[in-house]
Parts: sequence; structure tokens; C-alpha cells
Amino acid sequence: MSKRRLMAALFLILLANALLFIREQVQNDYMLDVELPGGSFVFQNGALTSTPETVEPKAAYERYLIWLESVKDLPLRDAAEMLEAEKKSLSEKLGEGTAEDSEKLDYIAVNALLDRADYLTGYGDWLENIQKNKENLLDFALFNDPNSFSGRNIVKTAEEFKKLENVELSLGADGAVESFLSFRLTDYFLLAILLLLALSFQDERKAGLWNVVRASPNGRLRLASRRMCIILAASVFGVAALYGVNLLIGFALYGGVGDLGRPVQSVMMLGKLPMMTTVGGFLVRFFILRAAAAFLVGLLMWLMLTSIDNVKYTVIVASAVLAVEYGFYTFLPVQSVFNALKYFNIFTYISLTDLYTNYLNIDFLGVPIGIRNVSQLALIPLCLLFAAICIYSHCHKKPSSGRDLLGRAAYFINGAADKLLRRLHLFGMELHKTLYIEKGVVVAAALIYAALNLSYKVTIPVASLEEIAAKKYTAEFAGEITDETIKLMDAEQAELNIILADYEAAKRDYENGLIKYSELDKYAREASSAEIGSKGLATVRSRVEQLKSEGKREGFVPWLIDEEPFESVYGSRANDNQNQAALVSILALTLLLAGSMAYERQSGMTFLLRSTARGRGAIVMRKILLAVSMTTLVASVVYGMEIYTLLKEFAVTAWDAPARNLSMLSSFPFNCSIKAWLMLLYFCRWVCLLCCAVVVLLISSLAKRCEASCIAGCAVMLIPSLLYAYINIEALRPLSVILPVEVMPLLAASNGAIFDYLPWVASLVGVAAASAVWLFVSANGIRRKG
Amino acid sequence: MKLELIDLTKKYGNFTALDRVNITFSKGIYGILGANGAGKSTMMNLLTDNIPRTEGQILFDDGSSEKGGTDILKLGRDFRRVLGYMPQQQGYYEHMTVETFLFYMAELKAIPKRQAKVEIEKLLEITDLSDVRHKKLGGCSGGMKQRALLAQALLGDPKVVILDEPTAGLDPKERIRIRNFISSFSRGRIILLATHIVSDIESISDKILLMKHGQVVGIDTPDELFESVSDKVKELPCEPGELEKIEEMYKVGNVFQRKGKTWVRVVGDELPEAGEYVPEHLTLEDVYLYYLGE
Repeated sequence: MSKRRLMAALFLILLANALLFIREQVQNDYMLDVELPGGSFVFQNGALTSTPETVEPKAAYERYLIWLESVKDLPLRDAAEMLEAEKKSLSEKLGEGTAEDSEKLDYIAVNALLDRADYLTGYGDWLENIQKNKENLLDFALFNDPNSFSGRNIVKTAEEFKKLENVELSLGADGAVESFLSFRLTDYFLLAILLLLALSFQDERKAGLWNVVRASPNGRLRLASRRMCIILAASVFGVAALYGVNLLIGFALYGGVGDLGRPVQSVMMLGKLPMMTTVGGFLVRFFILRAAAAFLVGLLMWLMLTSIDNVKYTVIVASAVLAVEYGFYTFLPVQSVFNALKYFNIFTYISLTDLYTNYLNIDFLGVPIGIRNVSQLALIPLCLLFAAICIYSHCHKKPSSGRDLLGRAAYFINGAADKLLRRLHLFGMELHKTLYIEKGVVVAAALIYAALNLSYKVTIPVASLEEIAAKKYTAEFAGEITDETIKLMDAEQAELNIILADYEAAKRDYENGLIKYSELDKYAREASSAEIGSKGLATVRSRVEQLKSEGKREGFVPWLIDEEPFESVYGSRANDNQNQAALVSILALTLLLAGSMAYERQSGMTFLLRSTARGRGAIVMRKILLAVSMTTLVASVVYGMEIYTLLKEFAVTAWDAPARNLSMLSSFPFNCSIKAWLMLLYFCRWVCLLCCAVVVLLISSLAKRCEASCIAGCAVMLIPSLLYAYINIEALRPLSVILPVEVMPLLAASNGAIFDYLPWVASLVGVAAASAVWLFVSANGIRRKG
Repeated sequence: MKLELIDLTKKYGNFTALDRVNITFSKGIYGILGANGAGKSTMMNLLTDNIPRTEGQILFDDGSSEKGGTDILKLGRDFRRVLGYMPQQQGYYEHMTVETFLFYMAELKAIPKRQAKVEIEKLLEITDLSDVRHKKLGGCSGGMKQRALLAQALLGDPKVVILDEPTAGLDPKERIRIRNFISSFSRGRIILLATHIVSDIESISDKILLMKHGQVVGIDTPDELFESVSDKVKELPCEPGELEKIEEMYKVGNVFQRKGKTWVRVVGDELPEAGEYVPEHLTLEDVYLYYLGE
């Protein structure tokens, strides 16, 4: 790995860490529960569904800080009582529906603060319970064996927490510390930095220079010592740059540094830490231990990679070892006979936060052993031990000493693979090159992951009760519009009219003193519902009339359709979803195919291929077939999920209804069923994706290396679309390939008129056809004189 | 069967890499000798249609029709079906094993699977790659890669074989083995062999083609070439301070020690009066120096 690549990778890791940390805070609503009690309703599949009302998290957190400021100097119990009273008052207003926006924010803030106050006020009781457990154990020794692991564990726990008896906890802005401790991805970013560093130490082996390095005067002890210092420096720098930045961002997002002199147990996440220290003291201690743990992990990585005889397999072996260790760490039960594998594990030092947020003693021959204490105490000796082993290994391991068992295993595996590969024809070999050699299978796996996490539908909220009624009647009368539909609507209207007439009669009766007010109220409520229903029915009737006249004019059979499923998935509100799906599809296609042609050049195979019978037009044809296959794969995964969402989330029955009955397709130029329209839609998307794939092949054929091809492919295929879709740079609209791939934004904007869409498709198909012709021309060398 | 080059010219801007070359290759092994930049690789790239030619024709006649030769550009795929090519620079898929690479090349050469299997087994044996057939090319030594590339060139029973430096990077034992195989394989084929290792050409070539500045300066059998320089090579003793002076005046070949004295071998039309002719001990290096030396 070149220095430039290493530096670029480190920079990307640091950037990704900071951005993902911020994203996590925003996604977690600044660690607040922003849902208000009650909620609003949406109409789905003919039924009303409740959706919780939420508030803007950032604004709520700002209110939280204001409330915190007002109660933090009060005694805890007083603060809790005051907050409880405030919550009650706000709850009432919310229940009555009279709460203003600021009061909604206050409710969320007060509720969160009350949780913390409850924790702090209850902390003393929790400590007392631990001591009571111990006393019960000793008092009733007949029933509990104090010499069992369980008994000893209770005693040890009580002893450790006894020192916290007089600790005085207080409220404070703990968001920064809690967010910093909860963001576990940073642990893996740090691991990645250390792994990259250890891999970079293998460069001389990869370049075949290990003999030369070992033969030089400074190539053993001095070099090993320098490398150890580099790991140490990288550990300190990595911890400062990753965790330090997270903490600083946390301070910026969560109301500043706050009071770092409070006992550490004041932070909810650290309540189980039996240590007398302040928040500030804990942070200093954490950073030192984190750097030491990183140093140990770095040494282990270095040792592991150096001890592998065949340098080609270092990444595979390192990944396998880490996977096994992670498996033990994650999946072994807390108290098991194998817990040594779980806790004396590299991930104990990678996920260091767990040592402070959980209190745990493990069973070691019946004796409870505190994981945190053991891990902390062992850290320095382990660092020294492994530093010595690393230096010894670097100085004494001979370049050609090993038996290369991995090489033998790989040879055996290759032999089995060769038996399969020899059966493949040219297309199969191209597929093998794309999926295996160019790591397309990784892209495919990432694509599936991304597709599973994409959002394919939006919830369409209902604005008024009349709209709810209209949706209800649409669902009730859905189907082909016939005289029977009109009759049913008339009948429904008649029923509603009776209710309204009854109310008028009841009013007269009440005025004449014939009925009581309570009876009138009953009639009034029914009449109110009937009035809303009547308005909803009128909306549906108007839509029916509109469809009937359009159907008559345009020659299609009018259907009343619940449009919500189609609006949710394909409508203008779902534009963001469509953008994302198209971008993911194009990105996956670009990454899958960017190496296809460039790989031949990178391998120096171009001349050799061209000298063979099928190394020109035939191979280009196979590459285009490959583009077709990859396009089908990508479209199936991404748009397959979209169809699955449509079928799963909505009970669509109107597949055979003419598509022009949908409002968004009222100007569609020809008559076809919704089913046929959907098939056409996905076919258009497939064609446009295929065109993109062919353009990527052209870019690939112009690049000398796969990486350059990937970068150029992404630059051409994605950047204009990204800038247009997300930063609204209108000038890049003509270059945004996501528009023709999405289809619907162009189609829905003109109610299905295809004149806005056709030029896009024609241009894209034209560019793709020109690219394909160019690929064949350049492969066949038609430019040459003859 | 013959391969005919008529006025074959290749220009890169104002630079003429190949200048109106006219040769007819018939069955046999042709060794191509020339300094770097003489036009050997350009000629091979034109023969494999990997670069566009500026002028001229390359006609191939497989002897099946009475019409005579057809331009290889017109023949296209039909010519490439009978072509085996090993390029000078090692190009290979480093993540493919030796065996998969050969099967892939067999697919590209449109060789039926069954035939490919038999041929690959044989070629792996000949090129001594059987024991490393499942090793990835990226992990093979330079010699192994060279042998794998040679094996692919010989796949499909090609009638025209173009080998650019086929024995580069091989140890002497491997070189002899490969050289002997090429020699035995040459029957009924046109084999063009470019190499800097003159001993390879000397021992197996039926004819040797000498190239200089994009032109063919001589083509003959090795014996006739030796004959043509038999009175152009002398060996003479040289005093320690004289070597530079001799080098300025004559084309100097080997400098060697004999009976405690330093001797030099000089080549040219004008030779010093001192020294002795060595007609019985001529080498291709002498021919090379005489025709191609500056």
C-alpha cells in the first residue's frame, strides 16, 4: 500500500467517522424521545391508522437545555417534583389539544429531564439494594451458599459499590459524554486504522524485498523499534482524532462541556461504574486507556500479519481471526464455561466502552473476577509483552522459513475451482472475472444490503375529516364505474340525508320540549358525521363524474381506484425515494462494470486478446451481455424490492383497471391496464439502466486501470445527478441520468404525457448505441488502414 | 502455406518504424534479430493486427485455394484462428490460475472444450507447469508466467506462430527444453521468433531475418550467414592500453583471456593486419555485429 493510499484511507476514515457520528445524533433525535402522546391518523388500505406526532428534535433539545439550566441547582427531589408537576400540566394541554408548539417542545424536554432526575434520585435506593442483597445472603446462609460463585459475586458487588454510598449526583448536560460512549462505530474505525498500518508494514514482503531489508544493518531491531513507535503514535493520534473529534462534536451539539466535576455516576450510562471519580477524570482515564488498548490491538495486528508466512493471505487470515474473535465476543453467553474466550478477547480492548457501561464479574473456578479490573490491570503488562514478542518476531522470523500451509490449502481450493471454471464458456468466464476477480460479488452484496434499507413508499397524511371520508368511500366503491356504483352512492347519500333530516326533526322536538338535550346531542353528533360523510361522498361523486367523462372522451373504461398505493410508491411525494433507488442502481452498475474493460488493459492482455479468434467482436458482445445481466440483477434487486413493498404494504386489486384512471396518468397517451403500465415502467427503467451500463463499458474501455475507471464512471454517471437532485443545480439537469432511469418524476409531472420523457430516453439510448458502436469499432480495429 | 509482406510500412508521425518491408515467410522457423527499435515488435504487431499499418499488405495463403494469398485484414477472424501469439511484455490475469488462464485462452481461440482439455494437459507437461497448474499467475515466478504465455500461444494447433522473446527469463535448462519443443512443433508451420538470445535462434532457426532501422537488411540460413562473414572476423592479442583504440577503429565483439594475454575479437570489412581469422568458430554474435552493429 503506497503512502498516498494509506493517507487517503486514513483521511476518509476520519471524515466518515465525524460525518457518521453527526448523522447518528440527528437520526437518534439528539437522544430524545420526540413522540408526543396521542398522534394523528392516516388512511391506509381502507382503514385509519394512528401515527405518533413528533416534534423537531433540535428545537426540543434546546428547550431541554433551558429546563436543565432552571432546575440543575435545585435539590434533586425538588427538581423531580417540579418537573413532574410541569409534565402533568403539559400532558393535560396535549390531551385537550390546546398545547402550542412551544409547549409540545417543553413536554418532550421535561419528560427527558424527568427520566434523568428519576434515575438520579433512585440511585441511592439502587445502591442500598445491593447492600441489602449482601445482608440477606449472609443472614440467610441456609438458603444461599455464600461460598458459591453467586454468593461471592453478591458480596464482591456490594463491597465494590459500598464506596459510592455518599456520592452526590447532580443533573447536567450529559449528551456529549453519552453520545461519545454510545457511538461504537468509532471502535471499528480505530481498528481499521490499526489494521491498515499493520498491512502497510507488510509492503516489503509483498514487493519481495524482505530479504534485502533483513540484510541491511537497520532492518531488524531498529526497524522493529521504529515500527512499534509508529503504532504507538498512530494509537494516540487515532484515539485523539476519532474519539476526541466525537467528543468535541458532542460538546457542540449537546450544550457545551458542562460541569465535568460531577461524580461520574451522574451520567446515566456510567451508573454501574464502581469508581470514585468525576466525569472529567473519567474522560482523561478513558482516553489514556483507549490509547493503550489501541496500542495493544495494533501490536496484535502486526504480530498476526507478520506470523503469516504467505503474505498474499494476510488480509484473509486477519479477517478470519477477527471474525472468530468477534463471534466469541458477541455470541457467547455472559456466564458460560467458555467465557474466557469471550472476555480475554481482542474485542474486549476494541469495545472498551463496555467495560465502563456494564458491571460484570465472571465465574473463574467459582471466584468472581471483575472484567474491568482485570482488563485494565493486564493492559500495560500485555502491551510490554506483545511489544517484546513483536520485536522478537520481526528480528527472528526468516523470510523463507515457513511451510506455507495456507499456500497449500489455497492450491487445493484453486484446484477445485479450476474444475468448475474449465467448464465455463466465454460469457461464464467474463461473469467470473466481474464477480470474483473484480470483486463484483462484494458490490452485489452491498447492493442487496442497500436495497433492503431503501425506503420505497411515503405515508400520505390525510388533511381533513372530509378527506378521510372520501378515502373511505373510494375504498368502498372501488372498481369499474357502472350504474350500480351510482346507485350505491345514491343509496349511501340517502342514508346520510335521513340522518341529517332526523337531526333537523330532533332540533324541532328539542325546541318544543319533546326531547332532552342529551338526546339532541346524540343526534347532533350523528348529523355531524353524516355531514362530513356527505362532503366526502360528494368528492367521490365528483371524481366519478370526472372519470366517466374522461373515459368517454378518451375511450377508456372508468374505474374508481384507491390511488394511495400508486401515489405512495410512484407519485411526486415519493421523488426522494425514486432518486435514491435510481442512484443506488446506477452506482452499483458503475462499480460492477467499471472494471470490465479496464481490467484487460490493467492486466496487459489487450494485444493478446486481439490476436485470438474471439478476442475482438465476440468478447465485446460478451461484455455487453454481461452489462445486460448486471442490469437485470441490479434492477431485479432494487425495483424488485419496490414491487414487493407495493404488494406487501397495500392491498391493490385494480391491476386490470385502465392506467388513465390514476390522476398522475390522466394524460398517458394510450390505453393500457395498470398492470401493463407497471410492466412498461419497469421495462423503461431496465432499458435506461442498460444504457447507463453500456456507457460505463465505454468509460471502462478508455481507462487504463480499474480504479481510474471506477472514479471516472462515478464522476460521469453520478455526480451530475447528485448535484442536480440534492443541491438543485439546474444546469446539470440535462446530464442527470437518474431522471430517465426514475421515469416517474418526468411522467407524473405532466400527468403521464410522455413528451417530456421521450427525448430523455431517446438521448440516453442514442448515447448508449454510439458507445456500443464505438466499442465494436475499436475492438475490431476498423480505423486501421488496409 | 505462406505469409507475404508487401511494401509493409508503419509510420508514427514522421518516424518510420517499418519501411517498405517485402518478405515471404514459408513453413519453417524464422529467427528475427535486430537491436531495440529495429522494428521487430512493430512487424509482429502488424502481423497480429494490433496496430494499424500505414501502407502495404500482409497476405496469407494457407495453400487451400489456388487464388493465392488474402490480406489478413480481410481474413480477420479466419486468420486469427490459425494464429498463435506470445507478446513480448508479460500480460496475464494475475488472479487466474495457470489452468484457468489456458482454458480461458482456449475459449477465446474457439477451441472445443474436449480438444482444449487434451491440448492443455499436453502443453502443461511440455512447459513443465503441471505441478503449478492451480497456482495463481500473480504468484508464479517470471519463468512460469513466460511458460504459461508460451503454452497459450501454442494452443489450438496454430499454423502461424509469432513468439516475441519466448525464452526471456527462463533458466538454461528450461530454455533448451522450450527451444527443442518449438523446433519439433515447427513442422508444417510458420514460426516467427524474435529474441535477444542469439543462441536460441542459432540452434533452431531455418532462416534468420536481420532488421535495422525498420528495414530488413538480410535474410538467409544460419550457415549462409556464417559463410558471408567468414572472412570478416579476426581475433588478435591486445596490450592493456590498446583496447580503447581498437574499439574506436573496429567493431569489437568478445574480449577474453587466453594464455595470459588479453585478446579481442573484431568484426568488419576492414580488419587489422595482425591477428588470425577464425572461420571455424563463427557465432551468430559475429553475424549480428557485422550486419547490425553500429
